[in-house]
Amino acid sequence: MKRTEILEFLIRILQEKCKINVENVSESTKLVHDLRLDSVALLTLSVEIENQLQIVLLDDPEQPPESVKEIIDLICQAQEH
Amino acid sequence: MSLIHSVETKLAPHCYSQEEITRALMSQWASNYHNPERILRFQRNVLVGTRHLALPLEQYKTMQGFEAYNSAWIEAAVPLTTELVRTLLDHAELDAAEINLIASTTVTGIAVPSIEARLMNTLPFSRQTKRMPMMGLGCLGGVAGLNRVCDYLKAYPKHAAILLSVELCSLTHQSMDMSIPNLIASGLFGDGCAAVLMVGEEHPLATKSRLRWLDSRSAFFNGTERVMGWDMVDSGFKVVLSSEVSQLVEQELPSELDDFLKCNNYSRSDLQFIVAHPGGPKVLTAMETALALDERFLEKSWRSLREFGNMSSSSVLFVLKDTLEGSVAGQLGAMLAMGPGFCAELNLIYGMDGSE
Repeated sequence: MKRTEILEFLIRILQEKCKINVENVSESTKLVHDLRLDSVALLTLSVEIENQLQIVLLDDPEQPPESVKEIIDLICQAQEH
Repeated sequence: MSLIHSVETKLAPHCYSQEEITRALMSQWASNYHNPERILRFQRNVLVGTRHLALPLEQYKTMQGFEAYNSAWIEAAVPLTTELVRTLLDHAELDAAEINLIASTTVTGIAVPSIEARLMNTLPFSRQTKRMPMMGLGCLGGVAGLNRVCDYLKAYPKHAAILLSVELCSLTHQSMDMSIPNLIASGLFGDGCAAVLMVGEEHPLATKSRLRWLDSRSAFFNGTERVMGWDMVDSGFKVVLSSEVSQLVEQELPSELDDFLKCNNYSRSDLQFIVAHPGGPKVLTAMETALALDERFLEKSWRSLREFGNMSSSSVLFVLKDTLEGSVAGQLGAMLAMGPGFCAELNLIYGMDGSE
């Protein structure tokens, strides 16, 4: 998947599974600060990405991704494996 | 003024480590997750070490449907609470027939006749005993139930009353619900029951009581209905849980507690102990931060969470019993719990030596 396709995919997950208002979501959007994702929504997002794309995100539990860009980077990294 | 004479607690009979419960859950659920390790990691992070369950773990694998779970709830709850209340009465050297009111609180099973009515068939209560079943208060029920009974005892100062809390959270398990709130609930909640004996100030046990109940405060937060609760579905209780819980603790609890204390001519610095419902690690951390508590205040709540998990309304009564194992004579304390509504329930208590 290209980065633009991944962004579209993420917007759909955020809207359908995390119940988030996805207006103006871009790579620079911050997950907690801008989208107000709570811990339940963040876990939902990770689980849905992994289940739907059949990948394993190699995120550091001590330093979870902060922006949409960082999530896309993790997805690209997982797809290369 | 009403008095809290004594507290008894009882855990469900089957004890498992968090790892054992998580492994059993994942044996059912792993095929639904591409990365089960993420789920395992999440369940470890709730900081629960062991939990007690009403049934052996393997029995949950074959149970299906609301009827099976709710029937198991009644079958387990009646003998557990009978033994619990018998112990409470024995320790107080009181006959069941001397109890004027039994209130019960639960959010994990439905019984009609309610659980305290069933107790009247297993213990020799007077046929004139008043009953007050409270369903739906959730984690709030321990403190709210205690407060409502103390309200009653203000009106009937010669009476004795019992609050019974029974929460067999494992019997609300939804094996087909793969939602994250259900994952959290499956990692956090345990089974237990607790009972509190309370008396009015003119009752003979008043001077032997451990705590004087001074006042209570209920606080309801409008527009927060979806923060916590159940959706009742064909398979039973489907959990509604949002991580807004910890935000609400931070936003609402300090001002509510401060105002409540002020109405009683106290301030936060006058509190020498706090009996708080151990909702989960985030809730306890939020409470410590928002109320600027040093770690000793919630130490017993953290211990209860680690050792037993969140047992809904029963948990805060386990913490109360643990508190009374030590001496609180001459100390001012508060009980705090939050639950579905979303709302908070508080009270102010004062330690007595129990031997006057």
